[in-house]
Formats: sequence, structure tokens, C-alpha cells
Amino acid sequence: MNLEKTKPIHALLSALNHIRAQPFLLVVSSIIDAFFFIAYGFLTTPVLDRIVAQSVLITNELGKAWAAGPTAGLLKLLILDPIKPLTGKLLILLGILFIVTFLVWVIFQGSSWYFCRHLAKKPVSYKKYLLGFARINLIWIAAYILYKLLDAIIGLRFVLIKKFEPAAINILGTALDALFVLLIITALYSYPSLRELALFRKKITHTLAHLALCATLYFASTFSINQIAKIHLEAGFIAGVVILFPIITLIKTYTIEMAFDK
Amino acid sequence: MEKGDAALILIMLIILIILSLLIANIEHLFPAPTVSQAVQTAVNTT
Repeated sequence: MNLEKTKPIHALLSALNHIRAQPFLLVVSSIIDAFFFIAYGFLTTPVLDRIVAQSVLITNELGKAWAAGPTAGLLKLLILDPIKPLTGKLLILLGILFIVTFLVWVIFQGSSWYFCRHLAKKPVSYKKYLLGFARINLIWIAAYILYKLLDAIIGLRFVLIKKFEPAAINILGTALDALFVLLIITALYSYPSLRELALFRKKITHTLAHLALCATLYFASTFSINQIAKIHLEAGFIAGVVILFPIITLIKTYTIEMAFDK
Repeated sequence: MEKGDAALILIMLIILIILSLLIANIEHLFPAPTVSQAVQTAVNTT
């Protein structure tokens, strides 16, 4: 069997060739990715801090309500006094987090994917791509917020269950995490062509091979960076910038190649 | 780059600046306890 002729390997080699031919676009896309992490951290950390504080206050009030004796269900308690104002504030903060995450993701990742489309020699209009990227991400970020809400509810519920049954296993939480991984993969496959369900139009064996190769590339790079950081912290930081972001760009270009490969 | 792309980039930059200003002033716009204050309240009540 000639490995080079298999679709996943052919697409990877093609992505590598395109990157080698256009190093400038690789640098631009990597820099945008790096700025995304800086901007995301800077803009969401203060909001996340407040969400954690609000969650602690709600858990505290729930604990008091449950300790007082038999009460209504968890969701009902959240919309009744004295927890209602805290729930309201939490929802507003989640709304702010939703808007900030959405805007930062669309601006930086939309631009980065646009340059990757050019890297893969599948050019597209910037305005058209960014607007399409924003539209598709409305669905993904809404699903992400839903996941976060469910995760918070299941998490709170599990904390309470653990008080009565310390050996309890969080099955719902694990199932939710599996769904979240599927959501990430579906989103990743939707970005090249801006079609929501592009993942399900591909051959499963090709998709699995592609995902395995992407995961190998990503984890091999993070492992190398960790090893370098153990020897020298600053060198690890530099290696992180020099290795990780180009690898992310390669993964994106490779995904585009896979999406458009007939 | 096509016609209208420069305007889009400018709009995105303005959005980022407004977001930065909003988040930098979140404690004034949205008064809420910090994580340590919330934990302290929880500890005091238990």
C-alpha cells in the first residue's frame, strides 16, 4: 500500500508543501493565533473571576437551603428568593462572557482561518469569509454556552449528591464531556467550507486518520515544549511560540486540504 | 484584499478597543464580590 496516495497523508503532504512555499502566510497566521490567546485571556479573565465568585455564592445559598430540610428541585431553587438575584447576575455575566468570547474568536480565529485558506491555495474574500465565520460560530458558541450551563447545573447537582453518597460517579458529566468533544470536532470541520455538518459528509476512516494525525502533531509539539521548559523555562516559552503556533497553522491548513480534497 | 476589507478591519479594531475599555472597568460597571470575598462569605456562614 502506497501511504502517500492515501487521502489523509496526501492532504498532509500537500499542506506541508503549501506552507513551505508561503512562509510569510505561516508567520502571519501564527502571529494572529498568538494574539488571540493574549486577547482572550486579557478580556475574559475578569469576567470569569466574577462568574466563579457568583457560583460560590450560589452554592453557599443552595447548601443553606438544603440543610434547612426538604426543599424544591435545584432549578426551582435557583429562580426563587434568596438565590434569584444571584442567578440573575450569573446569567448577565455569562451573557457578557458569550459576547466577548464570540467577538474575540471571530475576529482573531476568522482572520487566522482566512490566511490558512490562502495558504492551502483556496482563496476567498475576507469580508465574505469573516461574515460566514461569524454566522457559523453563532451556532457553535451558543452550543458552547449551553454546554457550560449544563456543566454548571450537573456539577452543582453532583456536589450535592456527593454529600449523601460519597462514592457516586458523575456519569452525566462524562457523557456531557464526550458530547463537547464531538462539538469541537464538528466545529473544526465546519470552518474550511463554512458548512455546519461538513464532518458528517466525510468518510469516517479518513476523518479518524486525520484527527489522529492532528492530535499527534499537537501533542508531540506540546510534549517537546514541556521537555524544553523543564530544562529552561525561558527557552520553553520561546519554543512554545516558535513551535506551537506554526503547528496550529499546519493543523488548520491540513484540515482545509482534507475538506477540499475530492 | 478587496474593497470594504479595510473598513471591516477598522470596525474590528474599534470593537476590540471598546471591549478592552469595558472589561478594564468591569468592577465599576458590574459591582460584584471577588472570588476570595465570596469564599470568605461562604466560610463565615458555614
